[in-house]
Amino acid sequence: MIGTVVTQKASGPVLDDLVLVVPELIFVGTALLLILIARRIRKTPVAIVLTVAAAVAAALSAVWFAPAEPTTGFAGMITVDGYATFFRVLIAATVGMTTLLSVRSIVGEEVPRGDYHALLLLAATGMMFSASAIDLLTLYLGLELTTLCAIVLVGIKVDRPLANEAAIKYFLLASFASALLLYGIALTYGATGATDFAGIAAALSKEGLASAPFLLVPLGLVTAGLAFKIAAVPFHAWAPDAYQGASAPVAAFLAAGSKAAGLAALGRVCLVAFGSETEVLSLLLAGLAALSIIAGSVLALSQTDMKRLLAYSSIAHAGYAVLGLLAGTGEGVSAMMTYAFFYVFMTLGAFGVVIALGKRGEELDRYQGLASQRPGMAALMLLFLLSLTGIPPTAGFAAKFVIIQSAVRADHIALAILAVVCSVISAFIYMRVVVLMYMKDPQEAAPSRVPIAVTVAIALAALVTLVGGISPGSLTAWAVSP
Amino acid sequence: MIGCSTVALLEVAAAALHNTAPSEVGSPIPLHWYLVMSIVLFVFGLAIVLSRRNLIYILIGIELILNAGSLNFVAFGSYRSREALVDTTIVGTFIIVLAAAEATIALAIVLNVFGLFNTVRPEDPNLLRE
Amino acid sequence: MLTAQAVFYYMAAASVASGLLAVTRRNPVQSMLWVLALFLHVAGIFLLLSAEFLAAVQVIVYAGAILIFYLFVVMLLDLPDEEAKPRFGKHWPFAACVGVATTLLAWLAQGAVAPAAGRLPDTGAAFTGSVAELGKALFGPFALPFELASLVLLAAIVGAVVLARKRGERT
Repeated sequence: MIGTVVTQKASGPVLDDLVLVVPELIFVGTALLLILIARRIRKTPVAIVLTVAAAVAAALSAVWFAPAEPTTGFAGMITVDGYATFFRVLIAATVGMTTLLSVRSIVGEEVPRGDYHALLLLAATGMMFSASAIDLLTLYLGLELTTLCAIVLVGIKVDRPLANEAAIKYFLLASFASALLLYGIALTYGATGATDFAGIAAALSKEGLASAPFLLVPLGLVTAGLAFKIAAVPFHAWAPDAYQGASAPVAAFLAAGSKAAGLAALGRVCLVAFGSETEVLSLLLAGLAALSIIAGSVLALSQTDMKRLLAYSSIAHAGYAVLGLLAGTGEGVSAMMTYAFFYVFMTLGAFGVVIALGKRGEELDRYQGLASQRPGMAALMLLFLLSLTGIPPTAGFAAKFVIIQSAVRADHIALAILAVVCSVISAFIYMRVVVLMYMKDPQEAAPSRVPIAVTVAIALAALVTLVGGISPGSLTAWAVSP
Repeated sequence: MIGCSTVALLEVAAAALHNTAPSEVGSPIPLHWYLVMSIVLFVFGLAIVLSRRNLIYILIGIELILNAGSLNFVAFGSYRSREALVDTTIVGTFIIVLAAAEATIALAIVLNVFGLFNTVRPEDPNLLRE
Repeated sequence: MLTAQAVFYYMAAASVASGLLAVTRRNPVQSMLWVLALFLHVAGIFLLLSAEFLAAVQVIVYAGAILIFYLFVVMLLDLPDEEAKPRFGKHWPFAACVGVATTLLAWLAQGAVAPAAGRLPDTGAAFTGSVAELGKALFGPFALPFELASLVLLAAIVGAVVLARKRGERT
């Protein structure tokens, strides 16, 4: 809000504004409760039930309390519109699913349950705020909250050297990136005299890049900082290490939630704040998208660790999602939202199968002969992998279709072709797993029973992946207008 | 000595770049000098992060970049208006809060890493492989 | 006028000098003390900008708490071999190049933004820096970021407790 006239409720926030942040309040309240009773939680289900209930309540309240008109609150710090509501529901769903998936990971190992779930909820709170932020300050604080919680979650198994190594590497890159983002915000403020998106847009429309080409520096720094959050190449180096070192549910949370929040923030910043600089911005974003798609698809080919493979896959998918932002139109953003939505569920599903198989699920070679031992699990994995590749009738196909369509409409034909080619390359990655599962003989005993919570989460993900494939709905109505 | 001459040099270069003598801006100390100061801090931070081989130093480098950011903010605010100065002071305070939070987490992890790997060099733990 | 300039010169020179020393010292404790000096001088620059509150926070929290915390950890780690090993990575020339390039870029960016700011009325030292004004802003328009910052601190506390628990301890 800095520096510009706030149109409504200029006399400071009032309690009325609280109704805009009910989902966040639910998350924070539950997190506080969990922290308070952390030492008293003897049975894991208590924390899990609380967290899942909070996630459901947050998702419902996000829809229930969604104002009919986009409403700005807290002196122009956040806005609640369709875009924010959409991502809030998505993030709440991610938290719920991650909690279900982490049942096995935290039982029997030295993870403090209360704190683990509290950190999950706090991270999700930060994500929600960055999705509804219309001020760079709120955006930055929201992203920082998410990142700090995510770092702790990555390193939460303090006995494991791998987890610690991943945490420190993630921390170094993340804090460096957010320091650069902060410097970019400071320069943006200097150039435009505002940190709120509307103020920045107003200042840029008067004096844009054409008259002040050096605005490229703050623009670049902010974009780079946000690109780091979605792990787009060349700011992706943290993702494979963090995912591999973290426990599988945390990796799933990073891959799904962190990416969704980063995309939400990037979308709003690109369309609203820097909306007048579409040309330069789409060049920057096109570079990010192309590099991410190529690097993600090619580097995944040589991976033998399943979480690392999915990390590279998530890098490529970040690239695909960014394609939607190239056009700078509501339609493109809707394509990005569709992509983010289906990506979240298919990636959670794939991680879910990895989690369901336990230690075995984390190494590619050990998928041999899974189909004969666990036909159901293998079929689900096949579904998620088909979806990640983008083969009909799965949701992944619908998502890729709309995203490539939007790239074509934005006259990025070469990028669209590249996206299709890289989809074909990525088919090799995913089919490697399928071949191992279906065409090899089992080398080891069948995996042990899967906890019911994990099954439920995987089933939910599978349902969305299938239904989304059959009827890809239109999300245009929810998209942020530029 | 080095510091003085660096700033003087930067100042001359700035004047050359913008074809204005620093005194023309009006205030006893032109905004530009503060910005130069901020860049110097930023570059120190960047140099440390990119070149030092010690986790603690890298963290300090990040702190320097954060400090450069808040200096930038406050300089802009102070030269804009009284309200802007209040706003940017608050932003600066938030940045310090964030730095404190980051330092807490970072040092906790550094201590864990040191306990497990007996090193503070970021390249030494290398269990995560392709 | 002249006093302000002289003070700024001193602050800037001292900051740059202590920054350079901090970057290049071999002994981590010495280095950390130079960073302390640097932060104190940056606090002085905040004073010159009439951001007294921030200057105070910088001294109390940054220099007084965060850096001392770093110092504790450095002493706790006790790194005797650190002084023998090379201080800089092999690719430090690359880092230097990046540094120079960024300086130039940032400089040009500042060139673009400085005139924009220069057009606005110059307040000089008129601002008295009343804490009351800050407080009103903090709990007025900045209430949400303030709460978010408190959540960040909460996360840091929980995170530190979680990460610093004894290894091998079952919870």
